[in-house]
Amino acid sequence: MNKKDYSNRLSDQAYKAAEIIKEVCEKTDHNLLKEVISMKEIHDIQKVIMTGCGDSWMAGIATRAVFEAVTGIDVEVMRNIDFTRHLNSRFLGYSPNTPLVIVVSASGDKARPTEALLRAGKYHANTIALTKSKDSPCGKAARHVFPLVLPQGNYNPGSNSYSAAITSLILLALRIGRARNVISHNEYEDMKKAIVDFAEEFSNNLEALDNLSFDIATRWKDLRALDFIGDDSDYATAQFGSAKVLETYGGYTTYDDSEDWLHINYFLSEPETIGRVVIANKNTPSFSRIKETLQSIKRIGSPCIVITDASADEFPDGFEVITTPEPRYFWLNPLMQHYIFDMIAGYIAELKGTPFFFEDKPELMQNTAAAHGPRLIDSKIEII
Amino acid sequence: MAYMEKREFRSKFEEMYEITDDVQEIVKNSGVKDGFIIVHCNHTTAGILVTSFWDKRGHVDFMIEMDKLVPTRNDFLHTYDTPTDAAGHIKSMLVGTSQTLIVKDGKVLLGSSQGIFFAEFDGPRDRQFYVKVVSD
Repeated sequence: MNKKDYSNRLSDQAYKAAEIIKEVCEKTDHNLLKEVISMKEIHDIQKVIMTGCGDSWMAGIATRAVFEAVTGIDVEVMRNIDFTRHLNSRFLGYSPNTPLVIVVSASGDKARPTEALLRAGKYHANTIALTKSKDSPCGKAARHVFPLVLPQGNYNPGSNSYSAAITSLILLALRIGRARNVISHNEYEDMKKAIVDFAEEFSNNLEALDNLSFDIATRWKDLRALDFIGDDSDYATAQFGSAKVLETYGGYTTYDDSEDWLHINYFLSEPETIGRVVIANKNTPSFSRIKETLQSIKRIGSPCIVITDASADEFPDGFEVITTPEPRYFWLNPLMQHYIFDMIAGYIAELKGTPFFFEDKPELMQNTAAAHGPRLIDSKIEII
Repeated sequence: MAYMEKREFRSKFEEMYEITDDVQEIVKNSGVKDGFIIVHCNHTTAGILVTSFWDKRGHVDFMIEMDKLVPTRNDFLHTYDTPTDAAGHIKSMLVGTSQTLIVKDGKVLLGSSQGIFFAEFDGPRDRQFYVKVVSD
């Protein structure tokens, strides 16, 4: 089989990743960042709530650790439906300009993120919409708009738009952290540079990672289901991978953290027919727990790949370990590691001959996020 | 005849650094016996000054008094970096970024308790200062 015959929108995006991340960093320069939110507002923040749907929610999960590390502010990441309908309003606007509610919505036209901004505004929380257009419903509903730089072309699933959102959130965190003097000028400059350095180093290793991804896809395409495991910011990578299984070839999939997995997903029947994908980075505080989880996976005989910045000898024999370049700051791993499974999912879909997102079924396709379906845009907005 | 050297270091937040020994060494390296020097730092949130080296608590007093003169607030119009950075610019303007001193018999002419100091009004940052030695 020739890998090139199976290239697809996800493998294409992986090869453009470093370019788009560099573009985001260049366009989101310091002058833009300092206009997003004023110095006084930055110093008023007592808490940050990041909220979004799907990939946008995951971008929040992926960056919570860096946000807390560099700003020293407590950060909560919530799904849009939890923020809009279930969060008690007493947690909004309890002090001037706090909490800071960051709503991530690439298109800015969906009902639920718009509702999140309107609700936050009603209770006098401060708001930032990370979105491509200030004229979108989200842009108009927010107190501040942080322009999201998106790749050219219409790519779905949007793995590069996901990385663009992660990059933007990291840059915003660095600006807030620097303005509050939690990180020094030198750290601020080095951390910004580390984003591009990591993307470029990953890109330099991409050909080998791509070959490995294609090889895994050929061996895993007929597995009954795929199960993803990751903790904290790596949980975002696990969830993003699981979403790709659904979005590309509509496969059965699930995801969990390393602790709950042993309580629940461990009991899936016929484990030898379920592929396990474990994100296990060495600086994750729960690294030792993840290694225990891997022992359990080995005992039940599931095929398993480990995506990690550690060397293979950190793990027991018998696992397929994919070591990715180690970034200068551990919190950068979610920016690039998702591309590994993005490529695997894209190749599995091509090998199966399955179009992404019901694209062969227009009557079903029109309701999806990929098509900006009316059920996402026209959903009734209720401010509770 | 003129001679110049640069020295570099990593500063900490709002600290004073005595650079007298560096400056004397540079004068010695220059070979100049009589003339003058300019000590200059090319930063906008730091300063060069002459004060007593005897009691380091006096340097802490200086920083505290500078903070009273220019309190760190979040309503400065200059918001490029941090409020400390904005305050640091003003402190730097007040103190100045250079000193001119006399060289006599191959040494900088200082009083018995005088030292030359680099004042960091922000930090931590990579810093540098220059000493230009000019002979009579």
